[in-house]
Amino acid sequence: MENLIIEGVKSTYFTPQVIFNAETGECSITGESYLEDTWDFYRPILGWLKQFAEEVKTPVNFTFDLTYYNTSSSKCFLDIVKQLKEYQDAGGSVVINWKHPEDDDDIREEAEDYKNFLNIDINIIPY
Amino acid sequence: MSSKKFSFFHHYLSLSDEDVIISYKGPMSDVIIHEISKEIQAKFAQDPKSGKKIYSIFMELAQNIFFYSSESTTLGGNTYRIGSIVLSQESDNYVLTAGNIVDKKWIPVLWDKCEMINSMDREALRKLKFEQKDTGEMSTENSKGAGIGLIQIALTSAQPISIEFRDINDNKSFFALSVSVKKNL
Repeated sequence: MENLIIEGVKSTYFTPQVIFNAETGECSITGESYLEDTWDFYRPILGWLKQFAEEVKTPVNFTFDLTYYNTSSSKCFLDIVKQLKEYQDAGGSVVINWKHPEDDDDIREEAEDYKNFLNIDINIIPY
Repeated sequence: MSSKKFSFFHHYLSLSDEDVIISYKGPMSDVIIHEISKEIQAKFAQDPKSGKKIYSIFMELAQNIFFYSSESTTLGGNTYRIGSIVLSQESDNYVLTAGNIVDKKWIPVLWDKCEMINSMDREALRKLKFEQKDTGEMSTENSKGAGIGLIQIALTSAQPISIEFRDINDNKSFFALSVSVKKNL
């Protein structure tokens, strides 16, 4: 399976950097997320994860490291976490890390809510 | 009927009642949103925690106008939705106010939503935000995160939202939403 690499771009809209490595299972979304068409951007990302869970089936270490995102992006983050939980429930090995700027309580709370309401383990890492 | 000519003088006077930091009224293009957001980041470099909240709330308010204002203009083949955002300050708070024209059918929806948001504590709001994201569908009308956007604005500001409607005609109303962020968080 091919890796998924999307370069981060900061112009009128903000594209986060996406690096999904199919060999190592290391996946990360980094930077800022505010897109012209949010769903268009995140659909292939969810598709990649689904294919990984069906074909590769090795451990995933997924890291969110975002400093800003709009609410439509956060809807897609929830979809990603739900997809990872589905993989975990089917027997896949999944680690989720959520990094956030130390003074940003709103970004921290987002991960706490996924953790509490989806009942999934997330390492919340302030920096 | 009085002259239709826009009174810039009255506009200037009414804005002068407030301590205005940023004020914009017009087509809410993606470029304008980006430029104002950069201005906010620059202006709040000395108050970063409050500044980031203002930045996030501004982005949600601007995107609401960008997607949902029912007033628009066409320039160079592109259609832009119109609205206004004013950022001002009081002694302890910064205040963000956004206004735009909406179809009247949205009034009860927006009114009930704000009443509900204001009646809930933080834990309940977080739960509601999660549930709406969990069940919401993307890419249908009024589902680009608008409902969740209001909840997020309330969570980010950590203060009540106030809203106002004024009838324009039988079908349209002016809708204004105002929210505060404490200084020096």
